[in-house]
Amino acid sequence: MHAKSSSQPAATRRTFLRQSLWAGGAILAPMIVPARVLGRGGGVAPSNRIALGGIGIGPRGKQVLASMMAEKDVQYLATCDVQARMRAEIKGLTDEHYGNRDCATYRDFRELLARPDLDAVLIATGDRWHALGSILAAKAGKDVYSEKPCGITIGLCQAVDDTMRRTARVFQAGTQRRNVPNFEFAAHLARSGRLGRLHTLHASIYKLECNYSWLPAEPEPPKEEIDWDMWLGPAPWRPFNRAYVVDRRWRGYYDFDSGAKLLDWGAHTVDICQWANGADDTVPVEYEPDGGRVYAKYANGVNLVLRPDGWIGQPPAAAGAANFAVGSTGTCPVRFEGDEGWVETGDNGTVELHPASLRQEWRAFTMRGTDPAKHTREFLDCVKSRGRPAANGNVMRHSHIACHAAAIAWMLGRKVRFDPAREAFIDDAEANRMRSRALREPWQV
Amino acid sequence: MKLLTWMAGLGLVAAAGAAVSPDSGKTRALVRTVQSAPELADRARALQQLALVGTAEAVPTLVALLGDEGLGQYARDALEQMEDPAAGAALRTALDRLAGKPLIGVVASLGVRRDREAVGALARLAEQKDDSVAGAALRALGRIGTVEALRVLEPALGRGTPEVRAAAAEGFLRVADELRIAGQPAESRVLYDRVRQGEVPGPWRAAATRGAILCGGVEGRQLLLEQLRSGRPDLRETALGTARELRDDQLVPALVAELEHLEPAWQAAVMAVLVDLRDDRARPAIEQKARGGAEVVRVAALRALGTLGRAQSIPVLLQAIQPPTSEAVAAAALASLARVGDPEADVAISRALSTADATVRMRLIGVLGDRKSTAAIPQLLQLASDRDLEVAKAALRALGVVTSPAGLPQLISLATAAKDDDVKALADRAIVTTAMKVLEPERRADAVVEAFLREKNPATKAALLRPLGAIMRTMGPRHEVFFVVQAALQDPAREVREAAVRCLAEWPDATPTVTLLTAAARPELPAALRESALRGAVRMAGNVAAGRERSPLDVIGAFTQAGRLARTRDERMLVVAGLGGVRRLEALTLLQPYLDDPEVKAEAALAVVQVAAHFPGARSQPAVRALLERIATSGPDEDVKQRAAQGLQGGGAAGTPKGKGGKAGKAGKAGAAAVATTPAAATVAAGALFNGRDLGDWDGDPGVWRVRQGVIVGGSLLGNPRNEFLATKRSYRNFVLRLEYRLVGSEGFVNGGVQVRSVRVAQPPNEMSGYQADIGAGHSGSLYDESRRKKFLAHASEELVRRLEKAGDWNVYEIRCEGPKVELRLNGERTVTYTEEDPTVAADGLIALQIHGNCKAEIAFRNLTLEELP
Repeated sequence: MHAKSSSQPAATRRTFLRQSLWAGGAILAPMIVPARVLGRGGGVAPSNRIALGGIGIGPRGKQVLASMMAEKDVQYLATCDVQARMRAEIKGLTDEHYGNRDCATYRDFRELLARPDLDAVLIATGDRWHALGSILAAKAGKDVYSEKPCGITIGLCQAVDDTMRRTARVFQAGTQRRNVPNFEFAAHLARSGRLGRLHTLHASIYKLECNYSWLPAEPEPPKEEIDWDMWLGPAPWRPFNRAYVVDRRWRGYYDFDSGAKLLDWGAHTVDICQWANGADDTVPVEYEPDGGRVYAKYANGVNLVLRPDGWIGQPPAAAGAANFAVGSTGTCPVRFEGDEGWVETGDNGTVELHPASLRQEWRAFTMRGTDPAKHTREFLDCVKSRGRPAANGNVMRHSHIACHAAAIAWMLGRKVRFDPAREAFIDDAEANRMRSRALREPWQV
Repeated sequence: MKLLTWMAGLGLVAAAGAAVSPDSGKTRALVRTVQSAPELADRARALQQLALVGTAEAVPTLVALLGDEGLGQYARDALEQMEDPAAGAALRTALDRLAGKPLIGVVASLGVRRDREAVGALARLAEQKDDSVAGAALRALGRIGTVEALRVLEPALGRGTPEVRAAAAEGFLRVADELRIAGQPAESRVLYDRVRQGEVPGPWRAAATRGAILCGGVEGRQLLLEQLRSGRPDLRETALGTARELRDDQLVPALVAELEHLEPAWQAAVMAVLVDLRDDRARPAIEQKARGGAEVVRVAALRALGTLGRAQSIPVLLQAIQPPTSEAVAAAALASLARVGDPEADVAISRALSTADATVRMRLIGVLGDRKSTAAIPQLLQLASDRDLEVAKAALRALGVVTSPAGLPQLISLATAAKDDDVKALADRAIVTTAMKVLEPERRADAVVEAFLREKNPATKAALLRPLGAIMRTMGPRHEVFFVVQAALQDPAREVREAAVRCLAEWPDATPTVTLLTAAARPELPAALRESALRGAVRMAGNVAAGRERSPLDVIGAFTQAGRLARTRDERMLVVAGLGGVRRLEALTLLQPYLDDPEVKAEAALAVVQVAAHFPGARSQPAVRALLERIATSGPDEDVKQRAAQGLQGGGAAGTPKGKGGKAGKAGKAGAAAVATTPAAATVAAGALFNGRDLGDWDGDPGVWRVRQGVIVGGSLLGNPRNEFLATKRSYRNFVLRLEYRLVGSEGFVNGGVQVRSVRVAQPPNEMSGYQADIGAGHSGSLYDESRRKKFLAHASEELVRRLEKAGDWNVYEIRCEGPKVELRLNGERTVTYTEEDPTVAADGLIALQIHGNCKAEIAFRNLTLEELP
């Protein structure tokens, strides 16, 4: 028995804020507004509780969810997963947190989105689902925190941003380094001119690779255990194999991953470079692959180098060794260079810089680059205030498009030019076709 | 329909411009693959490539696949991408023969292609009973966006199920948004208003309202205000969001005026908007709200002043922290006091400080620290010697943050004058953090050194050596500072001399070793200090001996002298244990006399075999032989006796430790190969990781790891000073490792473990980093992350392990590493499963056996087998 089991559903923002709107005329029966929330003037005060649902909560999702549930103004009410095992795990985890049995579980996320009492959703599926999940959530009136990469093609990233604008939803991409002090500090040095005139930005990326093969077919389990059709979602069909789902071995596949793995880190590191360059509304105009690196250039002449190697303190790569960059500043390093100085930082919070006088503004922080606490808090605040969080749709759109364009250049093995206004490659039809893929029916954006 | 008439010819549809990529050669080859490849995966891949390079030649093959359960979407993708009109025609024709999901797919593709010629067919589908088909058709029409398309969408706004109306609204709004962004606000406003009038589901009504507001002008602003006045939360939220997007110079005054008419919670929400708009015209009203009234409003206003406030806002913020005040109000005011950007604010806060009572004073001191207010330094220095200790401590905390190196002399006088221990510690810390702000590393200690040299008062001089040592430990040692401290050993005042010994005993490198030994020899030195000095010297010499530090120090000389000075049992034990880690033959000579010392002879014997293990060739030297023989025959400890005997024959030693070069290793191996006589060697199982004879395939300290009767043994019941590992020489990724272990121990942290996917670390060289299947000290069956995240990744149930594990006896461990998963089994039962969440964690690495430091324990391993997985 659960000692603290509550018989009454938790009062949240949505239950008394949204009943009139989402009812959309006579579609839904009006809900009962608890008397205690009625303001003195007869108006309804916005409550402080945000009702949250989650879709595809796995290892990273659990970290983000934990940071949200640690906030007192959040109530996690519903969880969706195509795997029975994960549904049970997340329900167990959240019920234990709240000391009740209230977390509802769903196999089909559309049923979760149809719940009128949810304010916001956390989307932490594999990459293939992020964009469509975000878009359908917004169309259902939910605010969205989506793990990165937020779309596996340029077209989907555009569609996410367009939909968020069109439906006026609060959107936060899971690129939390925008809310981690040492990255903020490095970007501040670049933006404020402390480094002189910026000339080169460096973003760390994975060793690029793209896999087109299929794992051997296995008999499909019952939908209740693993819903393979729903797992695939908008991605192209292929036969079932347990490893994709249970072991999460979908990374690196063209159909499931983003940009030959480039976005795994690039969505973070290129994003910080965009920020440092004051380029949140644009993207580089040229991309040239060279081995494992991609050299890009902005219209203002600033260079952007995407590379897995060459970071301060990074041991020389041995053959077949690690496929990602870890230097003395930790994982996901970035480096900004101007004609009067440079700064390099990464996930462990270390800041390397020159000249040393720049350090006087720095106060050491212990937050790690992977910690989403500040980022999720900002999202929650914006859900209430309707403000724009740091990694909003516009910011995500441009940093993700820059990554995709670089990945496309690498996959094509040739230099490509890009028009940031039209968001299209110049004189390269093949590259342009790579901007989007048809979604598997019946899914559409 | 009037609204539609003027829309004709607006050129809504962007012309499809770019050139096609006609690669007939590639297309033909790919089509052949699609038609005849035996593997479905190859056909799918060919279709995906057609989507990038295909020409109209592929159309017949692609059309035939539309509706195919597996490949239908692949074929449609290729048609959707192809700019040739033949692709569009093929998709339109397919509309008639398809149904259900494949039909929806083709409808969506026609929308993506913005196929004007499909409008008629899509209009018919929009009337279908199947909501999902009708909805898809309406959305596609919205993408096409011609006047004809709008003519179909418009009536659908008020017809059918909510799903269909939502799709119609979505399509309609797509057109409206595109028009607005293209710079035609008046025209788009008509479309938005049409949606607003319809019975469309909530999100779309909100979207239409937002669009209409963003069309701008007085009408846009008025519409926004209307939403605020409506009293409906949904409409108000739309207004709040849109207010942040709207570019309208008159919006801020209008919102300020609106504040008065809103309920408290909504006033707070509007103030958050005003903060985001960063407009000084909002400040007076917000200052007014910050003075009092409903708490939710007051808190929001106080918070807003953190961004919008100026020096004139400070009195309002100060008033909010005066008692009586609520915690929420005070917290908001304090946070904003720390943030107000106006430099004049510092002056106002400092002034308030002098008149405030104790509680408020403490809070304001914290604010000055947070503001990094250099103007407040004189005042903070004064407060740091306040009679109220809490005030003094708060001031010192703030000073640690704000003081620049120029203020070091004042901090130093504060530190030396301090009586209270906490105040002393805080002052020391403030000195260290301030000294570290000096840009040139070689000058960081200067201020403290100068003060020390100038100072006459012995107590003050002694006190200054505390922060000086701390600076050295933080920034790294400097020779010139060392000489200053060394000279202090000759100071006429006893308390200065003693403080210098303390300072040098903690020195971060081996420079003071000889100095410390000399100091320890002075008869006047109190016993406790002598032990500190000896401990420091032995630590330093040990570091040099173990290669943790490069130094010209004469290690053997240092140990010789330390041995002469050691009086108590603890001191002699220090020297003996230190010698055990010295990889020099001379250490044996130094150890010899301790074999006759009843209090430490067991440890001395262990140290002898540890040292000797590094020099297998030395057993031919008579002196070494005599020592080992003596231990082998009459040693005080059974294990040590055996190891001495083994040392005489030259068996069981591990391969050379990392970084020790090849020579000793070869010697070790040669010695090991010479005695392949143990019974276990005859029956080495397939997949065995250990050959049952010697440690030639392994890498570890031969003084710690050896083979005893076909079993790998590590550590000693007489003591293990630090962690030691015996590692494989190659990496393993996916595998099942099975082994048996036995851990026995008496004192300290009796523990060991098995590393997987691990690496040796450079410094200190004895450590490893990576996953550890833990053994002992209550952690058997658990997965620890050694030297990396330094925490348990998964802890086994205590009750389960208590039931499974046979303490002090042989236990079977099974470690399975596969992909991101690590699974441990103890005596047949699973104890933990861990799935790696961090993609940056290495997925392969060495396997290694561990004995933990700081314990008296011995660990043994046998029957190690490894089955590699794909």
